[in-house]
Amino acid sequence: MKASIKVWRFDPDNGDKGNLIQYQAPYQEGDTVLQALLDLYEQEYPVCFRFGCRFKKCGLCAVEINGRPRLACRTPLKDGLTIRPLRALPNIRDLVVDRDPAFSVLLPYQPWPAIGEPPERLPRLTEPVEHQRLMACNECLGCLSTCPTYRHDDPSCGGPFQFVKLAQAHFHPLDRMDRPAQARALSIERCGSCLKCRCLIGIPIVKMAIQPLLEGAHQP
Amino acid sequence: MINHQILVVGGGLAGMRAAIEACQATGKGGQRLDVALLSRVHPLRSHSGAAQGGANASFGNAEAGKDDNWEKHAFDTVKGSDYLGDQDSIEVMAKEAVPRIVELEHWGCPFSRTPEGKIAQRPFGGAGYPRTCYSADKTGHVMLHTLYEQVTKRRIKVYSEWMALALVRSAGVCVGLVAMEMLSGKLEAFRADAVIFATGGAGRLYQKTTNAIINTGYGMALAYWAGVPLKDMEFIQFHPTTLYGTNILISEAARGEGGYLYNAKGERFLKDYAPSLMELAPRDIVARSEQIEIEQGRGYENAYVLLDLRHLGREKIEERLPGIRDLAISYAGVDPVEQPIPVQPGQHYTMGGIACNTWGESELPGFFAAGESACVSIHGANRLGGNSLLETVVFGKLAGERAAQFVQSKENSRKGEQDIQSALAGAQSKIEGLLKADGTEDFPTIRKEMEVTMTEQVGIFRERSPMEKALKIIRDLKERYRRGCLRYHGRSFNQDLMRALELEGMLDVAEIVAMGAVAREESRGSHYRLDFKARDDEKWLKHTLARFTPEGPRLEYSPVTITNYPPVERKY
Ligand SMILES: Cc1cc2nc3c(=O)[nH]c(=O)nc-3n(C[C@H](O)[C@H](O)[C@H](O)COP(=O)(O)OP(=O)(O)OC[C@H]3O[C@@H](n4cnc5c(N)ncnc54)[C@H](O)[C@@H]3O)c2cc1C
Repeated sequence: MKASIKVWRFDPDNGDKGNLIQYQAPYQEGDTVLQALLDLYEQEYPVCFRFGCRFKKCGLCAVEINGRPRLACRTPLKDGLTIRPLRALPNIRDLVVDRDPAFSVLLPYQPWPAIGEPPERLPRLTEPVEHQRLMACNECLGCLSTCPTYRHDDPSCGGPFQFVKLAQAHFHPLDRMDRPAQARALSIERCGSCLKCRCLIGIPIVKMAIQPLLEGAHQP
Repeated sequence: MINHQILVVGGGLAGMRAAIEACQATGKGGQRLDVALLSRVHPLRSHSGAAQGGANASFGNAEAGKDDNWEKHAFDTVKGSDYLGDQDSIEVMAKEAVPRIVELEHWGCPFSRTPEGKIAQRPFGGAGYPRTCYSADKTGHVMLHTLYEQVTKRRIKVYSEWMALALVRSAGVCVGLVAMEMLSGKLEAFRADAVIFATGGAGRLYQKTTNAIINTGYGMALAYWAGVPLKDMEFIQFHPTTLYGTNILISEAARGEGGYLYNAKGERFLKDYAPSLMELAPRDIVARSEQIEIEQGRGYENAYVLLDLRHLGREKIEERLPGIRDLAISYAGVDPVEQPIPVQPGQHYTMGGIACNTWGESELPGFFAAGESACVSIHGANRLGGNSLLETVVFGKLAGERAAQFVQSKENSRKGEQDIQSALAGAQSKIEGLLKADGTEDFPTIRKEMEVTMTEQVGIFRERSPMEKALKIIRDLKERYRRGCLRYHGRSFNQDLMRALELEGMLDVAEIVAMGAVAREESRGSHYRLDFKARDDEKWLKHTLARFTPEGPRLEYSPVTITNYPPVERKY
């Protein structure tokens, strides 16, 4: 069996503007888009895309499939799929985007738990369930493509990914920074009326990241 | 030329832990050492993040683990290694385990807790007590984040998506390396007084593997080409529970939490192989038992057995093994709450690696190794689950510390610059050669043939004549490699080129695995010879060393360090 798919090809070295190429991918029940891309790479066109673990952990294979961000490694292959790079980030070659802007905008905010000098003996800790869920984030950056207003070139404009990172710190039992204030510096107020963002692996971004940061109460 | 005092290659747990330690040291003038980290994927994307089950440390926090201590951890590891592990290093690991895990906790690593708030511990294979600290089933992920936060906080320079292509020695010491910035395709020379490799395992030599597509063992090949021997490479771990079809790992945590393995006759077949430890026997034994059941017709579709978690109940599965449940649903269409999971053995871990001692020192001064790419040796002939995450932080730290001591005694000299420049020129012309080549062979095809050959002929059960055939195939593939041809000739993010470069290393490493396995005429741990079924301490209680020569690898041997645990028969 074959599945007919279209894949974004873009090679700035050759000065082109990019186009979609057609590929008849060999297809078996249970195959994923990642397998089709690897296959395309081996058989016909050495398409350039990031990949790592192949089971949702490394977050490298996020692409847009039929206009929606998805992990290639967990999207079932079928006929008629169109695969493009994440629109929220600059395209470098084929399906590869520049991931850097998504991280560098966070650096001024110390996106790690600000614990200070650890006490001699740590208090017995319990991890809030929000922290547990948020820590599953594999940083695939797909959520940025679901945000209508995120701009990678505007340092005052965060997106769902950046708010998840701040919320991770916010819910860390030992963090001592005012994360809601940081979120405001990244213009989180504009999220209040939107809430369109989605996580590719099901983290409830709005409920566990955006709303707690918007409501602003600094967790002890 | 870029200059750093210490350059760490590899952004996984071992590399980051090494960099953190090294940058804490101060140089002669009292200023902090200049440490940089270079990695072919962003550190957080390293395969360490896929580890599910946990890391061992003898806290004794679980009720059933009250009597645990570091000596028991050391003994279990020695026995698990089938007595090939070096006992002095194993003792260091077992003693350092608790402080290293506590340190992670202090850095904010969210380990799962007992009801009293202590770090929770679960049972793992081959261990006498529940000793494995975990964070649900995403332990590697949270450890990786914790270390990356420390790296960022310390402002360690990270070269992300840079691939090392050559390690440079000059006048008998390591002086730096050549690397490629993947995004632009630009080559760059790096000068360093010490280089630490933490480049991960070589699982992708095999077709059926739990490893990421990026775990190619290329770092091992680079060290080998620079004259550093690889140790014990024939010891390849096969994990008993990988998803049938995709070989995605179902962590040992599933059995640690109480999962059972059934053959097609509905029997918990381990009763015939490891009656006392059953499903929690070490991996080599469980994987072999499974393979025997399958080969003797007691598997399903001659390919898999069943891992049953149903009796654990929905609540426990959702609380302790949510990631595993999700993987089974996503990739096998099976919800373990309701149905058993089809599993089969698959390649999982490279016990061997760059030969080094407890402090990561290789025989090349200034060159260190840690993590899965190193062979200290802790795991000997078979690694115990949960010892590898531990190894990354224990030996990453020691390698970082020793590398710092090594450079502290030196001026940041410019020695070896000429050799680095000529290595750069060498890499450049190799790449240009590949980009220009118009050969008839296709690299992906060569790679596939290698993977299949290794899986079928140098797998769980081994025998002289099929392995000799495999060796011949691999040597033919090396010939064909020279007539290979790229399909993409641009510079930026040329994966076709990167994968071709890696393949050259993989073929050499595959040859070393096969040669070591043919030579070792005994069965020990993961290395099981149908034609030599017994362990033979008289002849083979020794490490294999493979050394580069222009004619191919030369095998040498070195003694095993025995301290407190004389070898006895290994029974479970
Ligand atoms: C699915 C899975 C589950 C596991 N679960 C457990 C568990 O529960 N408990 C346990 O103890 N162990 C477990 N292990 C084993 C353990 O995770 C690994 O052995 C360990 O994480 C390896 O860490 P590392 O830092 O040595 O290498 P890795 O994390 O693999 O990192 C290697 C790094 O080297 C870089 N690199 C490689 N080559 C180059 C190059 N040429 N140039 C530049 N950079 C390079 C890569 O970018 C990467 O950053 C598991 C392994 C797998 C595959």
